[in-house]
Amino acid sequence: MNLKCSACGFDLLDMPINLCMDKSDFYSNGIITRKTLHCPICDKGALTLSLDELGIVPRVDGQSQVRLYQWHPGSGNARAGEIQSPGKLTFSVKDVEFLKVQDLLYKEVPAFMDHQRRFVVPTFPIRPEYFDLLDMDRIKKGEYTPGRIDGPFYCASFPLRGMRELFSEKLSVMTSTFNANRTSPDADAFQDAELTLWPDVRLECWKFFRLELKAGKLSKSTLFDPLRPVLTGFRKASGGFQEFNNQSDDGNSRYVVVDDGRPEWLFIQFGDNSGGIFSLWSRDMVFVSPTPSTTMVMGVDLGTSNSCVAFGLQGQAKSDTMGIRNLERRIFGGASGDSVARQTCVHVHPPVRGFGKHGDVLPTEILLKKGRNELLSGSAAKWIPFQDYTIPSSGILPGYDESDHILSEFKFDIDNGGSYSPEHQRQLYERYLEALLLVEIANAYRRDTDLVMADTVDVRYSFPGVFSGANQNWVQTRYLTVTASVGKWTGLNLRVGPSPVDEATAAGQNVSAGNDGLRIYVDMGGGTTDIAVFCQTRANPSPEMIFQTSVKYAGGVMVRALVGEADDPAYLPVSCLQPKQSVESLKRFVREQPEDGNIYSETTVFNPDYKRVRTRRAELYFGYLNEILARLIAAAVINREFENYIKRVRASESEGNLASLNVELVLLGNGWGFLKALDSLNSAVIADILSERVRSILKGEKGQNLENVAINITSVPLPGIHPKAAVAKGLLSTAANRHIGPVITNRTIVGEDTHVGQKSNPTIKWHTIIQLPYLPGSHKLPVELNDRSDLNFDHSVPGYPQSPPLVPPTEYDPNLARTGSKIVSACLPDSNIMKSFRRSPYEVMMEVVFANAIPKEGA
Amino acid sequence: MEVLFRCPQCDKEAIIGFRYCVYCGRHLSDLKIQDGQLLLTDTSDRPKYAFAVRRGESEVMVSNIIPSVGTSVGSVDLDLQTKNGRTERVSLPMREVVKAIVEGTEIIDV
Repeated sequence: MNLKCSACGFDLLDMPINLCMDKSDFYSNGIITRKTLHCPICDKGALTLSLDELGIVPRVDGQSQVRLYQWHPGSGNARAGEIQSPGKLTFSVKDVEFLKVQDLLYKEVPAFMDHQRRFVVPTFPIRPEYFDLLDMDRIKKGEYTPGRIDGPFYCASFPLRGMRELFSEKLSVMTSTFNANRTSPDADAFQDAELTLWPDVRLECWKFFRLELKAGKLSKSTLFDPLRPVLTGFRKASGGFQEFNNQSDDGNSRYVVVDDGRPEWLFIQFGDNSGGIFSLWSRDMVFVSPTPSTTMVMGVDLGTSNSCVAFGLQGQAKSDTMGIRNLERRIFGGASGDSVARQTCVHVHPPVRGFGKHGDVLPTEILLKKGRNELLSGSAAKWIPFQDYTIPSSGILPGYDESDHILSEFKFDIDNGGSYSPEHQRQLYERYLEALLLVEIANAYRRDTDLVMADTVDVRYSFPGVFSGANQNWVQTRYLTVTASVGKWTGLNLRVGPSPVDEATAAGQNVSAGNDGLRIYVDMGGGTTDIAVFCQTRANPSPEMIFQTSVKYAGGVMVRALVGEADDPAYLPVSCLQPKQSVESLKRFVREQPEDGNIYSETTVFNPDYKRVRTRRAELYFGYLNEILARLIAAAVINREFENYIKRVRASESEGNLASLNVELVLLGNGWGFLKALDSLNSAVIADILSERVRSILKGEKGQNLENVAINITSVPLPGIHPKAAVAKGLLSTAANRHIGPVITNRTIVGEDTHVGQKSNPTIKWHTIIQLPYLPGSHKLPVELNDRSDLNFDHSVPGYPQSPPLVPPTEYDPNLARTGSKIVSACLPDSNIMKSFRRSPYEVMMEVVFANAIPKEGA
Repeated sequence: MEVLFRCPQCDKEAIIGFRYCVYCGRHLSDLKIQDGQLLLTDTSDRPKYAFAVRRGESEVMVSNIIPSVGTSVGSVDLDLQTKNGRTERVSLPMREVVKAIVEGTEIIDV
């Protein structure tokens, strides 16, 4: 207490006088705070006096009336409101009542355990309605002893406002019901209960958190006993406690999402007399402010099936993807561990582990707490991440039908909505992006990270090359909207980075120039395969992109083919999976595989009775892509694009016939995961098959003098970058000012001739090669189908060799005979080219086989 | 002697000797000279309290009050008339005035 005038030095405490005050003296703008006294000598210096200093505590009672309390001294004839100052001054404060400390406390406290089976008990045994009587200033300075178990009792010491000495109390530990033989607190602890807070970040400005109280088998009956109401509530640094009671469907957990500040305290109350308050952060936790004027660059590859994000500090070369970790801060409960957790119902906590070898891949899916019908009957506009939905996590074994809860495939069909209405698709895209950015930024700013805590995050993103300008604007609007909300939650300045690029171009940012020749980036995702062809020389640091395409033919097609999905419900091809498997379970299964796994040997997922069907569909899937790549390479040779490039970069007028062409193939993306295509052996096989097909095409180009051009195709891995991270990491590179060569279209359209020349206008006929290089013991026989001028329909399938015998088309689908006419109509060339890319590999095969064989209308 | 009175502005009990009300800051009193003694008056010049000034062993006459300026506004300077006819200037902390009133003494040592 200091009542010395700063202007004249007069010390009021020296005066042997009594100051009389009442409640109204301490009001300021309706809030009880401090009283400003005047220096009675000079009236120049202000003397401030607070109720705290007088040991008087204001509280608002149930009728919103402010009442003043003073701790009961325990003995003597003291009168409430009579206060002696440290000097000669005394105070008389009217309307003060005495308060007993014991009235503020629970009569007994619960005991929990941490992962080392040590007790975790409430920090303070005080009831939440009296929490404001704790002296927070002193608590922040560490002037307290948090609750602990001492023998059979609970002990804690803490400062109360208006009380000089720490108050110490010894209480009983509550008896839980799962162990009736109570002999020690050990028997009473809720042994398997958990209290977690997500995320464990140390940013002062972070405002988005999720609190969850989970019960285990032992503690469930007590923790969430319907006969004894359990209250839970949290409190931020200021304000009162807010109760929460969102419950998981299995009744095992209760949680709340807070998006406007950091929860500091939590109370749990059992019945009327048991409970306590837990500090959610350790005493030594230091929250830091982000470093001013620093920028983190965040590259977001939001794929159709999977997403990956990379981070790097602006101006520094080092960048990387972030392995998604469990960022739950565990206040009590067992260790999270690495074991797969079985869940009987949807839990919408943030993903605890990413997919893939590096754990840096997340599914582009929304896992909805309620069923899918929740969306159809309402709106996703107000869904809150990790309260209403989440992103599926690795390390979880769902005991429920995922297909009832997972929403996916919302990246495409922006124009017509696809499976969703345009409004729903917009909402789903935004909700997913919100959750993704939150998870990724939390991981980047997690407590133990060594990254600089930049105050600004530039979010760069890529888009599929098939997106029109309107589509790209649509995506940008989504990013602008979401970065605003996530910026508010994280307290960081989130900006949408300039100049988003297509996915293949982003991937191409990773590697500098290699050998003279072509380099082809093939990024096969879940929804599209994005391809960029560059001309390069060893000496030139800026390769020139001569062609770029994006086709809606990627991993998702393979999944649907294996499951036997079709756009037309009347057309029902067989599934290669076991009866209880679905698209969602297959996707999860594939995502959980290590990179060198052989998924097809898993008979719990794949039906061994349909092995041949499965094999054929896989052959078609990769055969089709092989054909696209072969046509691109052949077109570049026929059109002498590399020679023209050399001529430009070397400013040479000499132009000779190309004797050989090096082609470096960079295979990227998660869509490749099915057939181990990216290991060194299969990459080499792909390169061999491709070489063969390119030579075959070139031989067919009469008069071009191309028969003897040596095509050397090699598969080039990206050093230090796994296939799915290439786009995300490429986004962080300084955008290269690449020269875009002549735009050449129609090189990858199914069934269409490819026009490659600008002078002589040569064309490449469309062929399909069905190769079997990727499976053990598979056949390696190229199958060339008749071109479309052949109108002879042959049920033995034209071009199929008879030895070794291949399956007839009916084996692809036992219903083929009955649905033949529909298949035929579906396979006829469509005026809407993009639509043809939505068909399954089976349909593509049908398109090639049958479209060639069936007479055209009117023929 | 009654040392308390009510502040005409906030109606709280004030102490004679305080120039300003400790609660509301109203100007309450002034220090003047009457017959060589100090006289505390209210703002309407009504006398409230008078006391003699002692220097050493003997009382002295106050001939002038000089309000302090600068940082030491909690004091006033007094010109004292000594026996040999000379004038001596001393500083009187106002708290001594208040203490004298509260303690009921009629003499202030300077």
